[in-house]
Amino acid sequence: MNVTAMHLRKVLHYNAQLRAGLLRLNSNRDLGSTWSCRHRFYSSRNTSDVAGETSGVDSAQVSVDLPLQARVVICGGGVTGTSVAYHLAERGWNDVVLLEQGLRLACGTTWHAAGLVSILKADVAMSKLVRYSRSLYKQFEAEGKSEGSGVGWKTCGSLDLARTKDRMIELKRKKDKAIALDEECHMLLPKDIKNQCPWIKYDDLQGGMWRPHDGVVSPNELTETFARKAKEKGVKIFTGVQVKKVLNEENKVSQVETSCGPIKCEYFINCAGQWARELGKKSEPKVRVPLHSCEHFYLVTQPIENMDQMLPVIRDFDGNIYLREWSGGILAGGFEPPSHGGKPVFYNGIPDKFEFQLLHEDWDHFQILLEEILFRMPILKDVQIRQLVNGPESFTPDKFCIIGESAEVQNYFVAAGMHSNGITNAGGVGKYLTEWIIDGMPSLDLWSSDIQRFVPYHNNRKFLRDRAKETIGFYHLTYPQEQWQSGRSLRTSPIHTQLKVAGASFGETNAYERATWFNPTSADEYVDVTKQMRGTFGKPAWFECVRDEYWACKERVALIDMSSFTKLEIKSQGPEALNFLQYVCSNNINEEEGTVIHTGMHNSRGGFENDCSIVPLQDNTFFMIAPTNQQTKCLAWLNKHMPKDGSVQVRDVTSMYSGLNVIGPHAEQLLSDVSDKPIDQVKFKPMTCKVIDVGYVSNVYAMRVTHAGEDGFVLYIPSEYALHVYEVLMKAGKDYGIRNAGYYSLRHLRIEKLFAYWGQDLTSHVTPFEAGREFRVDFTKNFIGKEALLKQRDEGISKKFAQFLLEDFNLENEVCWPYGNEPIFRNGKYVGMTTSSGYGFTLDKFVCLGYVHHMNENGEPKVTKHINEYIMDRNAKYEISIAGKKYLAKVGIYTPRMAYKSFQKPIFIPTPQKI
Amino acid sequence: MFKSLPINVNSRILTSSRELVRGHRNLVKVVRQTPNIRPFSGQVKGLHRAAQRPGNWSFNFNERSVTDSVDYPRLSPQQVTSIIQLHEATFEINGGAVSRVETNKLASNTPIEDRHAQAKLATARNQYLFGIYDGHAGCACSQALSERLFHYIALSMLPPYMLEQVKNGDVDPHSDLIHRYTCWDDYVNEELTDTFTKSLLKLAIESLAAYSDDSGIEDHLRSAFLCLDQDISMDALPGSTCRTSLESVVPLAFAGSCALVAFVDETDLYIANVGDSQAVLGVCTEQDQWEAVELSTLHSFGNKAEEERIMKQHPNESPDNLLAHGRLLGDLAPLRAFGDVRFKWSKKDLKHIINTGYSSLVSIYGNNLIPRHFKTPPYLTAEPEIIKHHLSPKDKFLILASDGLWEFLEPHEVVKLVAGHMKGREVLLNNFELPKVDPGGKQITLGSINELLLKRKLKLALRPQDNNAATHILRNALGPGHGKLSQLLSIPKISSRNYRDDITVTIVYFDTEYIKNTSFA
Repeated sequence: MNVTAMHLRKVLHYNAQLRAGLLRLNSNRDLGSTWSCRHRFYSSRNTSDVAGETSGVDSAQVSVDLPLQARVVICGGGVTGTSVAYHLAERGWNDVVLLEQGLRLACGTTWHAAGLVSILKADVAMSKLVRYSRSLYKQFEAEGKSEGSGVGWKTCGSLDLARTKDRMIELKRKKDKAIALDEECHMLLPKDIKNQCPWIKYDDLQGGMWRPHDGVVSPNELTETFARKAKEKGVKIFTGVQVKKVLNEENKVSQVETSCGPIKCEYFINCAGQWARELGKKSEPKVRVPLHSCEHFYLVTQPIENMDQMLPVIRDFDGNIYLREWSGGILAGGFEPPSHGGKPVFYNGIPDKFEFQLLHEDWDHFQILLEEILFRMPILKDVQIRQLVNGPESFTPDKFCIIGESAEVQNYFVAAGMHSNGITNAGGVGKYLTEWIIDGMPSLDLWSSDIQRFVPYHNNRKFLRDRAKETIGFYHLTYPQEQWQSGRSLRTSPIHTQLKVAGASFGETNAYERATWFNPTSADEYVDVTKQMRGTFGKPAWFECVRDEYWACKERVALIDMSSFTKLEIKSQGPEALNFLQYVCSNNINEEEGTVIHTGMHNSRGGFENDCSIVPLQDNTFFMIAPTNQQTKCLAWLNKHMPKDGSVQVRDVTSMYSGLNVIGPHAEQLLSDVSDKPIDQVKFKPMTCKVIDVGYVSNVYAMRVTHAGEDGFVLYIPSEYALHVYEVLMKAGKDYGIRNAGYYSLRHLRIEKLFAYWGQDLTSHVTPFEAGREFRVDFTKNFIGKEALLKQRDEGISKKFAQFLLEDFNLENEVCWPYGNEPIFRNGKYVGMTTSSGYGFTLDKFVCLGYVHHMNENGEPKVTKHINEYIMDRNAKYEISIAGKKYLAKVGIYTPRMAYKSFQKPIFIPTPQKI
Repeated sequence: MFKSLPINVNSRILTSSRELVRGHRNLVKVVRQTPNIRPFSGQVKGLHRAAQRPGNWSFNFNERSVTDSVDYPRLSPQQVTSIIQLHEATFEINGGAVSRVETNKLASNTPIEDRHAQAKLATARNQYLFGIYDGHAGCACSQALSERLFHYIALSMLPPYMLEQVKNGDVDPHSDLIHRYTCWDDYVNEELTDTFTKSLLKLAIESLAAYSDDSGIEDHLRSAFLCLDQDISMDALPGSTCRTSLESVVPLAFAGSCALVAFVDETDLYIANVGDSQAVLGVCTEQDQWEAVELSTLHSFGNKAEEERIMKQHPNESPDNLLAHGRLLGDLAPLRAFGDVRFKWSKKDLKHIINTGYSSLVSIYGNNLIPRHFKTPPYLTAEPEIIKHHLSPKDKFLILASDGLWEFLEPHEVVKLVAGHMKGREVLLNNFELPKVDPGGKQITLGSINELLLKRKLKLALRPQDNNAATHILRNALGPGHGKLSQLLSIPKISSRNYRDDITVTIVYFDTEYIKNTSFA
């Protein structure tokens, strides 16, 4: 037996002891004996005591001397908290105090984690984050070897299995993402799978994927290592200390009150795992951390003969299960599919002293997973059970974890809701959260996990319980644009019912139900068409419907409900609001009343924090329209930079106004039929806003903008009048061929015209120069991010937004369509990922948008002033890989003129002429 | 359906409530078709009959008939559950062949006229008695049966030396003979306790005198039934010795009741039946195959043997008069019953009652206290029909229920419901505990765990809403849909009896293991 194996054995033995010991504790309800038992158990170990500040304690009552002051206070001594502490210390911030309410580190939910580390996640940024985690754990293991204390890392690889053709497509799309990560992975045929792992039943499989560099780690050793290394650098760790309150001054964290006295601090980091939501409530205003605990099950078997110590981690997604080697046996668990549903727990709060505790086993609930486990690895049928582990884990409403600075309190950071990926994420979360704290933003675009993606409703307890039941099933195959089934229909626009009757299929963004497309055939029945649709990676069921809507927008007139857009009102007594907006926006806001100004808001690196439209109104008031998903973020951003004297007021008026997009060449004529003001191009210029009457409704803000590059108007109507306006327009528009259109048609219109949308194409890591938006930047004034943008203007950029027209894409036959996140190749070399895509009905081509990176031989970004030439180089051949199949693509940094083809007046009506 | 229908009540109201309720959606319609039900004049406290003031409720229904009372339930699901669970009771017995008893009743009359009782004989091992008493013309008779019948049975089975002890006062026949399993709503009619005790002592003396070694259990049961009926009758007769409590005794004798008693003696089961309650045995013939074995015959119109028996006993009377409208002398539905001395006494005695002026009785029956065509009494008997059945391991449970249930459900349906409930209940009660070893005695493997779980899963799907099988049956009889349940439970008290009778259900579960061992031993 070599040294590694010896070590491994030791670790596993320790884990076995830990689990066995703790189970005994679990059944023992008497707290006193629990503690002494645990203490005895721990003192029998000879590893050095991690929590130095409390070593030698043998009573439950701990008195500790907390420092009166620290720069950063971290709450939560699990793997996430200790990782953040470690990374802060690594960056030289060692005035850090970590508080753990339990009497030991990792006693919450870390200790019962399965310890799987696999880097391919739903989006590329998270995958990069995990890639860092993995390399860090490997590094710890290597260092540990010399010091005699590793983290139990084992590079056993990951084996993903596919039972269906659709799952194979998903694996292939994953492999495409792996290109961006430069990760080695291989597609396998069923017979290769047998070679890789002979115990697997393989004859029903379509194939699989093998990633040799993934592995497993021991959660407890990892937490201890983080803690030890953090302590070595000066971080102070206290256990048995509870956070009672987080105070702030001028909306900035100022002090943490604990069960052992107060600590003054500048930063507070909530790493409290499943306790994070409750902890969030302990500040004023409350910080919303939307997560819910669910029971999570895995079983551990007795040792099996001829067990392969290096058995890969097997994920049979279609069976919703995973398997790994554990202490000579198998550890196998899974995530209940939505049809079965998870088991939310602690709805009414987590019990006190929930330390090193498990929940009651529920074999009936676990049976569907057990069935799949035995199906996939039949030899297990004859194996005996060691234990069924039921430990709670926290789950979020959208499968992504929750990290970043809270919108409610500045310098209050959160890293929680790991969705049972705590161990995998810990390293990366520590690193990037540290960047977030120290540098103001992380070097990766983590919007998908940003805590500011949520709106207040997400924190509703009932909602979280119901949604967690569904999101726990994260092995379940999710098709593009698939919607959640639970927790729906909360925010709806006033014309929701009308749209539903008209056959609308709804998609939810920030809890807002938006009509995505209309199925005219279901118009007379009140049915939800989404439920009738079978998911697919290929041609979607809505395609023909969206095409018809598209042409209505392009040739006639259509109505699109835009009520979900974030709407803000910014005002002041004097010019303060204007000055403030001039400072946070890159475009010139000092325009005439009634001008619609498209502008970005940027961070200090010039990246888009927001992309919005602002209209100056009377009396120093400004109306701002921002993307739906910006509701929390843009408000937080404005609040953060607002003058502290209270001279500027920002108000969220999203719910007060409904938005209706009257789009198409007939829109002008239609609106003048029902309005009191002349609507022609001369009197009502594009990019302006007027207050008009529509039908009987006065004071409608009409903006001659459609967000899709077509002529038309978005009407912002006080919500109670919206239904009237909708009905007036539908009636008056009958002879113009008016119809309803959904968001998909809007998207197809804008993608064809290379319009970038925030959240998909524009992120906090993209600047106006890179997005081709420099024409909206006014360098004559001072604004946030100006320096960085000036630097780019002088030195150039290393990536640029471009449009790709797929040359040989057959709409009918392709099994997988592009949906964004596909790798782009330039002369066979990977240069970036697509961000969004749609069919260009006018161009009659599939259109993908994405960033082309200019990189040197080592893959590092190369700044150049001639990026346009680089992209448009005649000799450059572009390809886009969709589920492993490469398609030739024609690149452009401007959209072909043809895309605007029908942007013209309807055919002139001839009048009789004198002969 | 009505056992003792006063003559002046229009007898064409609803002939079969089973038909009616089956077509529950027509309920409102039916009511509309019978708007002129004549009000019933007799109103005696404690002797409520159906349809006292039908005018009121039919008006209410018409008013609400715009809305469907099934689609717009008046009661919430919680209310429905609390109503049907009100009288439920479960007794874990686990002695001899009986493992558990579940019982429940649901009132339609106010107060309810059904009674049930269950007891263990104190004088022998593993002997149990379960009784259902469906009273009519008030609850006085059924209440008396529930208090006395088991004692009579117990006493009649005593060996001579025990009878001697009773006679000498060494054994109190009241408290020492049986152990009752009581529900929260059981009560005792204190007024008659003395009369009852005296009767018991008298019976002990008589039994001792007439003791014979030849008589079997059937004989004991028969004599207990007949003796009790006789005592009820005698106590009320003119010239009776117990004058003190005459005001209670006479109405008791004029009320009536059916009785269905199951006697479990080790693995022998005796069903003694008087009237139209029914006993059904649930037999599991194969895995998941169930059979309903009826262990009693209905003593009512339609039972040819019974009809013939009555004709034979009164050879000179016209069959049309004897069984007019399917009722005894056109009046009483069950053809055997306790009490109902109107059909047992001589004309002279009845006239005496009228003349001495029992205002309460006269106000109920008026001139019809003596039934029409009353020529050669007695017409009615309380002699039980007794069926003996030897329990086999396949016999899983026995259902005893009053006719109120059988109007809604067929025996095989009820057996199916209980069988389904048994399955569901197995998982309802126990969380899955991981067995250490598999059935073969080996350390349990994951494969066997999975098989166990799969079996449980099938049962989980059947998991009933009610823990108590009797409640489960009630729910399914009246519903199971909430709308229908709510409708049948929210009918005004005065008209409720037109749609459903009082329902009493007792389910006796047998211990298969015990029966198996006893049979083979």
